[in-house]
Formats: sequence, C-alpha cells, structure tokens
Amino acid sequence: MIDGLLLGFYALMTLDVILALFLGIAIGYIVGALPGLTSSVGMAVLLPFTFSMDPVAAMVMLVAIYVAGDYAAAIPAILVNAPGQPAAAITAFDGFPMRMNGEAGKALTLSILGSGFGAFTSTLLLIVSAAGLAHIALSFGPAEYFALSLLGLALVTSLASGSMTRAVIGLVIGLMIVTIGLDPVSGTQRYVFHRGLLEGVPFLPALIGLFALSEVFMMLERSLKSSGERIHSLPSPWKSMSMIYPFGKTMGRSSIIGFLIGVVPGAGATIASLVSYSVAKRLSKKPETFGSGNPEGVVASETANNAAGPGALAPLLSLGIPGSASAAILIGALMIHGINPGPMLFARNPEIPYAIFVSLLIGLPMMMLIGLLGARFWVQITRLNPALIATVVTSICLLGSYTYDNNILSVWVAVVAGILGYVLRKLDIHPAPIILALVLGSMMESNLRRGLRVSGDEFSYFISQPVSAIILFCAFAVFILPLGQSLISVFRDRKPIQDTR
Amino acid sequence: MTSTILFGSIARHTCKLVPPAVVGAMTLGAGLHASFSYAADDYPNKPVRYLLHVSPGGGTDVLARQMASELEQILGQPFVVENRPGGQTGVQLASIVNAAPDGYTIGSTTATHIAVMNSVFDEYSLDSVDWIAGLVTDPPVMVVHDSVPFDSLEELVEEVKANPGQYTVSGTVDGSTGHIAWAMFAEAAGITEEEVRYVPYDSQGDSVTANVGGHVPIGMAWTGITRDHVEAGNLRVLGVLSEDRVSAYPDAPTFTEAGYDVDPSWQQFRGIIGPKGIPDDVKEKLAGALERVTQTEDYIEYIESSNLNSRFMGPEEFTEFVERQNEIVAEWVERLDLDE
Repeated sequence: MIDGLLLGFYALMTLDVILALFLGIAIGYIVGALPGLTSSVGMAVLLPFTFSMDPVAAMVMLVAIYVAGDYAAAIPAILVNAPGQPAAAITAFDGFPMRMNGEAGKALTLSILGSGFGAFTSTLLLIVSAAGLAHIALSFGPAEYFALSLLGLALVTSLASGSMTRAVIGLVIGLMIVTIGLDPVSGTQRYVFHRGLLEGVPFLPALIGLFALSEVFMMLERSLKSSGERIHSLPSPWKSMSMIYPFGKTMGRSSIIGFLIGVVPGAGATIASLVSYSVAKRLSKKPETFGSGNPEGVVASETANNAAGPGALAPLLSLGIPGSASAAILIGALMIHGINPGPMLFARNPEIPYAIFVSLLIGLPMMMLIGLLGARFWVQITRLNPALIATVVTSICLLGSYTYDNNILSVWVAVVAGILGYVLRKLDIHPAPIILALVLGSMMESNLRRGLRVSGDEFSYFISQPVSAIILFCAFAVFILPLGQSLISVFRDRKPIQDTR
Repeated sequence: MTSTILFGSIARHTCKLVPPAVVGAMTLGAGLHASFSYAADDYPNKPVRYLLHVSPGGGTDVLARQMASELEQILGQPFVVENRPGGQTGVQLASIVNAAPDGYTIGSTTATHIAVMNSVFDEYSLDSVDWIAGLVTDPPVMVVHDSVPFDSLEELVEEVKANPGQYTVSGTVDGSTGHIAWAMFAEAAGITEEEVRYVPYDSQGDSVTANVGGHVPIGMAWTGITRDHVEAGNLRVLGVLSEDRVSAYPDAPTFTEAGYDVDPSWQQFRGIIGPKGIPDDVKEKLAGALERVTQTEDYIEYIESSNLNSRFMGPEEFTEFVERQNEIVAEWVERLDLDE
C-alpha cells in the first residue's frame, strides 16, 4: 500500500495534475454552491474536456469536483434554505435557523470544518480498507436495501423538529409523488398525465421548488422592507480551526457513520446524514434544541455526508460499482480513456486509485482553506437586501431547473413545487420529509418488489436475513419509541380534563 | 464537395476574427451556392444537433461525444451534442419527430426505442423516424455466480428443473432486451416462470452487482459490463446469444451451439436516427461519414476497450435490422403479457 501511495504521489506531481486538482476544487465549489447545479452536473459538463487529458489528471479533476461540490451544497442550504443536494437538506435543519439568528458565519465555518474533517477521515479509512470493505457493498441485496431505506424513512419522522404527525404527513406526500411515473418493476404507467412525467417527477426541480422557491416566498412575506442583517465578525481561518474542539466527538462519530454508510451504493450520503443527525440528537443533553439552530446538528450532518463521498469510492474503485450519478460519470470518464473500472482496476492501473487517494489527501486541506476564506465572503450575502436575494435566487432556481434536463416542464415542476412548499410551510409541514421520501421511496419500493420476486412472494425473506432483520428492528424501534414515550407521558401526566369554556 | 467543406470551415474559423456583417454576407454566399447544387453537396453547411436520450456520463453519452468530435473533423461542421433525457426516450423522440427532416437534427437510438414504441407510446412507431445507421451491437450474455453447481447451459436447465423456484435470473425492467433474451431462452429450454423467476433491476450495473453478490445467481447481461468480473473469477459465462462466438469469451458457446433454438438476431444495439423524410443523398452522406468514423483508430480503440461489437449498418440494412427487432419485441410483449 505504501508503494501504491508513493506511486500515486509520483503520478500527482506533475503541473497538469496539480492544475487539474485546483481547477476541480474551484469548479466543484462554484457548481455546488448554486442551487440547481450539483457536482454531477458540473462533472458531466466538463466530461468532454477530459477526453484529451491524461487519465490521471482527468480523474483527479473529476473527483475534486465531486468532493468540493458535496461540501459547497451546504452553503445555499445555510444561507437561503436551498440545499444543493438532498443530504444538505438535513444540514439546513439547523444551519438555516442559525443564519436567521445571525450566526451564518459560525454555521458556514462549522460546516466546512465538519466536511473537511469528515472527508479527510473517510479518505484515510478508504485507503486502509478500500479493497476489503467493498465487499460490504456486495452483501447488500434487496432485503438489506429495503430495510435501509425503511430505516431512513423512520429516522425522518424522528428528526424533524416539531410534531411527528406533520413529518409523517410530509413523508406520505413525498411517497405519493414518487408513485408518479413508470412502475420500476413492470414498467406500467402510474399517474402519468404528461409524457414528461414518464420517468417520475424530475427530482432536482422538485427539490429546488420545495426548498428554495418556497423560501423565497417566505422571504418576501417576512421582510422585504428590512435592509439586511448585521453580522458578527468572523475569526480568521487559522483561529476558526479551534472551533473543532467542542465538536470533536461528534465529528469523529459522524465520520465513521458517514464512511460506513457511504460504502453501500445507493442513497449513501442522505442516509448517512440522517443517521448521524439522529444519533447526535439522541446523545445530546438538549435534544429539543435540534432544529432551531443547534450547531451540533450542522456538524453531524455535514461531517457524515462528506464522509460518505470517499466511502462511495470504495465499491467504485475496487469493483466498478457506481453508487451515485457522480460515480457513474467517473466510470464513463475512465472508459473513454480505455480503462475498465472493475475488479481488475487495482491490478491493472494502480496509478488511478492511488492518485485519487493522494489527491484527496492534498486537496481536502486546500478545499478547507478555500472554504474558510469563502465563508467570509458568503456571509456578506446575509447583509444584502432580501428583495435582491429573492430575485437572484429565483432566477438561479428557474435556470437551474431548466438546465436539469433542458426541458421547460422542469421549470413548471419547480414552480408548482414552490407553491406547494409554501402552502405546506404555512401549515407547519417542513419540506425535508417530502424530499427525503422522494429519495428513499423509490429505493424502498423497487427493493421490496424485487425482494418479493426473489423470494416468490414470501415476506419472511426480509426478516430471515440477519443484516436486514437487524436494520428492520432498528427502524421499528425508531418509529415506535417516541410513540411509546409519549403514550407513557400521557398516562403519567393525565389530569382531569377541565372544561375551559 | 471538397470546396464547400473548405469554404464552410474557413467561414467558421474566420468568425472569430471578422465582424458579424461580413460573416452574414459569407453565409449568404454559401446559401446562394447551395441553390444551384444538390442538397447533399452542400450538407452540412451549419452545425448539426445531435440529440441524446440519455443523461451525460453513461456509455451511450460517451460514445456519442466521441462520434461528434470525429464527425466534425470529417464533415467540417460542429455536431452539437444535446442531452434530452427523460420520459423513457419520449422527450428526445418528440424533439426529433418535430424537427425538419433536413439532416441537421439527428439522435441516438438503442433497443430501448423499439421497446417503448411497442409498449409505451401509441403515437410513435418504427415509421416515425428515419433509421440512419447502426453502429454497434452487443450480444446478450448469460452469466452465473461462481458458486452455482453447474457449468453449462445444459446443466443449468437440469438443475433449475430439479429445483423449481430455487433459482432467479436478473436483468433490467420487464420487457427489456435482457428480459426478452431470457424469455426466448427459457422457452427454448422449456423452463417455466415458476421454475426460474425474473428479477428486474434499475440498471444493468445494479443487475450485475446482484449477480456478483450472489443475491440473484443467474444474470442476463452484456460482454463489456461482465468481462472484468469474469476475469476476476466472480462470474462465469455459460452462453452467448449471437450467431458466432464473441471474441471476449471464446470458450462460451452460442445458444444455438448449445442446442437451444433462440433467434440470434436479437441484440442490444446503438445507432443514429433522424426525423422521417431526410433526403436519401443527405442520409447516405451522413451514413458515409459515420462509417468513416467507425474506421478511425480512436473509435476502434474505444470500442475494443469497452468490449463492444462494432457493426456498421447503412440506412437500408439498419432499417431491416430494426424491423426484425421490432417483430421480436411485438411478439414477446404480447406473450409476456406486458402491453398495458
């Protein structure tokens, strides 16, 4: 392995590759920070430019976009409640309230520190265990995937601040939306009233509408006349490093959670954030402050979701299994250079995975520095007139929805989702459960149906496998515990009902 | 013809240096030039849109972008790749069907187009588009997890018949190329749906991963995606649905060789389509350029490294090819009761 790392270091030490690394970080950072553009969009747009590049430089650049983009998705989540990716929706739970309390700078700083820490720790874990751990990815069959997505949904009900009933209502709305489109197993059309909805409601425009546009409406309603907020001064990047200390434990725990869940291909980053956030909330002495601007919530979510990124590289590099849209693009980029990403990659082209490892080790501290300096710039946005923010965010949102698939229908989806999100916010229903149901719902459905096909319609299949049985038990516990607690407290505190009329 | 291409490329390169009015005049000149020559002589005199039915990044996208840059070098005009994913190819198909049939709008096609024309869209059929050229075909390959106790198609049939309901086979959505390939084999071998159940995955990658993980022991897949797993000893190949053996798996018999009467014309493919009614000479010129692309070194290298099977088909041959594919789909969609 040391040989490998030296090889990777050697491959990296050319001007082209270092330049590619810088360029990748910069592009990923910008692309991730714009709602509607994700790291996978940035990678796809740049893919043709990598055709003529050296394969190592191409991969280093694309991986840098991937990792930097994942981090930067937290910026709009915190500043305008518009998460760039679903995992960042969980960051917005506490990040946005912090910004509303005038702590935007602290939230941004903590998010970059958490992401950097998470991604770096996860990279170290990846280097040590890439080949061995990849087999976790293989051990996940339909039963395990079904259980994992059910656990994700159960966690959603427990983490949203406010009432569980409202979170469940959000989930159900999300699950209803996810039913639209072709049936994932038989290909039958379901609620397809428009050709463009055959593959379901386009996800990114829905995310943009539910979060960003509905937030714009709220913003307009709240404070068009106010002239922006005062901000607390930010510590210098070096001093802000010390902000890690109070969150050391949370970061360490979240990194490991993020890495392990990231290794499982699929909805890795989102589930990692969910699990890490709920664990932090459960272990906290003040769980009730989560959701109203607890910095630990930002740290837990950001650390885990960025730790999931390098984790997802394990099955990609050692088995050729893409865990996400971004990973699929990395595979495409390798293939154009005549390199077949698969179980033979480490044996045939060891310079590729090791250069990626080394580029992450060098690139992540660089990314953190850019992020910390950037936080000082981004935080200025909160001083702007809300009318200006609202206008700019709306245009970016609509443009972002259009670029999603070059289809005007997506813009309409964003607008309708924006209105829906606004109405639901008025009813105190948070958009996050809807979005998480969109991510997890299709994964849950297709794996349930697949599991039933494999087992010949035997439901016992899902509890007869040890891993899925354990995950299902956890999901059940997550769902039932709060109910039990509230039942007990109802009995304990039962007072005679008084007529207050 | 050469002069036109030269003229076109000069005009394009000078665009950066000269004011727009001059370029306009030059373009006008080019237009006049077109009026007293054959349409194909002048084709292409402006950029061609190349619409893809897939998102950026996958195999079809990568191949298309490679084609586009080679086509630009041969025909002297940019081929602008636009991704129009979504709606089960419906978004891209609508753009192509509604475009002028002048050769300035072309699109990617795969077996999915035939499938959706049969089972999803009532308004589109084979006749809705012109089939310009076929580029690659990919024979269905039957793989099994290394742990299964059989090593030939014959033993597989024996084993699954002796243990009905014990085995499953994976591929993509019901009615996909892999599903129909399995159904054709199962019929030839007398395997019923109760004996081996078909498990559909969201993508071919997920399906092969399930085979490698042993969750579904049998899989219908393609050469490219399975080759490394076979080399690494995770999967074994039992047979290939094609006329001749494939170079990647010289030891794997074709279904016919193994004694199963399955129509070997059933293949996954990639090609180029355009709006209905493109003039024959424009189509021929485009197909000619595509054929030249398939002979370039870069292209051959790409095809080899991706384990694809280069098979160029001109407009007539490709149209016949898709008609045969269409017959098979129509037949099986009905037999598998997939038309809803």
